[in-house]
Order: sequence, then C-alpha cells, then structure tokens
Amino acid sequence: MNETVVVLVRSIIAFLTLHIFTRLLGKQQVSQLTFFDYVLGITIGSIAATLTSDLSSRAWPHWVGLVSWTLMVIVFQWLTMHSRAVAKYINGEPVVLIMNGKIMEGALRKMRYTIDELLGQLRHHQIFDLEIVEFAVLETNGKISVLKKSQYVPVTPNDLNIPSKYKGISTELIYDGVIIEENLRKVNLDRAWLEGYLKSLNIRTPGEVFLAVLDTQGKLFVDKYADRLQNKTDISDLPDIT
Amino acid sequence: MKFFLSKVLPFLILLFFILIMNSSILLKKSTGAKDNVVQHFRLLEKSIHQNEWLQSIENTRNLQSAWRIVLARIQFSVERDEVNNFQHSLARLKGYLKSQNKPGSLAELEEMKETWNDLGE
Repeated sequence: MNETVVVLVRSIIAFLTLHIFTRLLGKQQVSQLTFFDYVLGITIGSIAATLTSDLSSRAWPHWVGLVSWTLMVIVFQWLTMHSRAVAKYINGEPVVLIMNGKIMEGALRKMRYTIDELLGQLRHHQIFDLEIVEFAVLETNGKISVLKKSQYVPVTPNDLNIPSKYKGISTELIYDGVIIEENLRKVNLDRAWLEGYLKSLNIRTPGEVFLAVLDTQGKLFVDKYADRLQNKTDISDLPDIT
Repeated sequence: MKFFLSKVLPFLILLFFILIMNSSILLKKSTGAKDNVVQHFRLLEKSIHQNEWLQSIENTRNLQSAWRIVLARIQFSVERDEVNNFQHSLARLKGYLKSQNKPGSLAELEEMKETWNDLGE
C-alpha cells in the first residue's frame, strides 16, 4: 500500500468534493455567516481533512458524512429561505444593544456581549463617542449595525437636491493582455474600436495592457504592464538589502 | 456548454469518486490466475492439510504475489488497518509453515480469509 499515493488520491477527492459542495451551498460571504454556519463550515472542513489523511478507515464513510452535512445545510438553507419563522428560530434574531442612545445592559448580558466588545465594534464603524449612536443592533452573524443620530450623518447629494449620475457596473474588456470578446459584444463595441482607442493612448497591442475596464459613462480605464513610475512609494519597513 | 460545466461535469466527477471509493468489491475479483487470491487460499489449505510443507511455503509465496497485485488496485478503497492485518497474518503464517505447525497455519489462514472477506466492506 503506497500511503503517499493513497493520500494524494484522497486529497483530490476531498478537495474537489468540497469545492463542488461549497458551490452548491451558495455564495454567502464569511461576514454574512451566522455562528451556526461558521460551526458547520468547520465541521465539514474537519470531515474533509479526515477523509484525506485518516487511512485507518475507508474514504467512503467520511465522504458520506461530508454529503450528509452538506445536505443538512442545504435543507436548513431551503427552510430559512422559505419560512421567516424558521429562519428566526434557526439563526436567531437581531438584538438591539443601544436604543435611542441608551445601552441595553439586559440585552448585552443575554447575548454574552461585553461593553468592551461593543465599544470595539463601534470603533470599527469609526465611532469613538457613544453620544453619536442612536441605535446599535447585534446581527445574527455577531457583527453590529449602527445608526448614527441624524445630526452626525454625512450630507448626501440627495439631501442637497444635487443631481448625480448613474454609476452602474464596469465591464472588463481586456484582462492579462487578452481581449474579452464576449464583454465587447455585450457593450455593443468591437475589436476595431478597442484597438483604435488603445492606439490613441500609444498602446500598439492589447498584449501591453494588464486591465482595461469600461464604465457606464463610456470611459475606458487602462492599466499597462509597463507602469513607468517616477517615484515609487515603498511601504515596507524592512531594510533595503539590494 | 455552460450546463455541462456547471451541472454535468461536477455530477460526473462525484460519480467517479463514488466509484473509486467503492471499487474494492469489484477490483478484489481476479482477472487471471496470477491475482486469484481465493484460489491460492484453496491451494494453500489443501497443501497444509496434506502436510506438504515445502509446497505450502511455495503456495504462500504465490498468495503473497497475488495479494500484492490486488492491493495495488484496491488500496484507494480499503482501510490501512485491514491491509496491515492481512500482511501480519501472512507473516505469522510463514512462521507456522517453517515450524511445520499445522493448527497454527490453519488458524492464520482462516484469519486471512476473514480479513480478505471484510476488505473494503
């Protein structure tokens, strides 16, 4: 029995299975995960690790465990998507920690949330003075959402009745020196237009471009491989050893 | 193409993995005389019963060769402990045969058969 080859094959099985299953589970960001999701992720990862390196048992039972946990997560996801009551029961509910500027000590205690953690989370929101806070809500993912008192909220163009332009999403036209033909078609442009535009920027071929992105205003952002910077900013603390 | 890549291909990959992880039952079966472990068990048992010790040692060597061929095929779907058990039984059997110990040899052979039957299940 060649253990190296067996572990290698099992690694491939665990890695690709995990990849396929995580795609099945959706694209929730880590920051959006509830504490339960977080624990589920660790458990599934742990099973995959055992599948890879525990040669004292067959791969199959671990794989079945992986499938079972993933299926249960999918079932829970489906239930929480289709029933608000179930979602609240499984994931819990957001809890108000600061209401109308007053700290809710009872809620803090119930959530086992210390005042230091609350102040730390507020600092993450650039809030260093409790006086600014109208509401602070502890979300089910353990993070807090903050509503500032109206006198401390920045003014927006809407407040001043200033018209603003539509932003939308930009489209990548060149990546890594290669023109993305499909995206060009989507924005009703062609290769000739793009090459002409690049020529006007003294770029002979798309191969010289690392990234070209077209925004919704029709403006093309181009970043070349050759950056030709006069003064490079070095943010490293390490001594220059060259 | 998109449907194939996003649905069919992952399904085929998972199916392939399931086959690999459960292939031992199929791959334990012999493809010829050289890898027929069950046949070598029979020959070995017969020679031990007839007290043909030199022949038994030769049959054990053949059994070991057959086992190695099969092990290369089934190693991805069996437990390492089961493999070790089989190999330890084989080593003990060799010792019993050298000392011409009939009860010990037969006991080890029976244990090997049991391990073989449990392999991959």
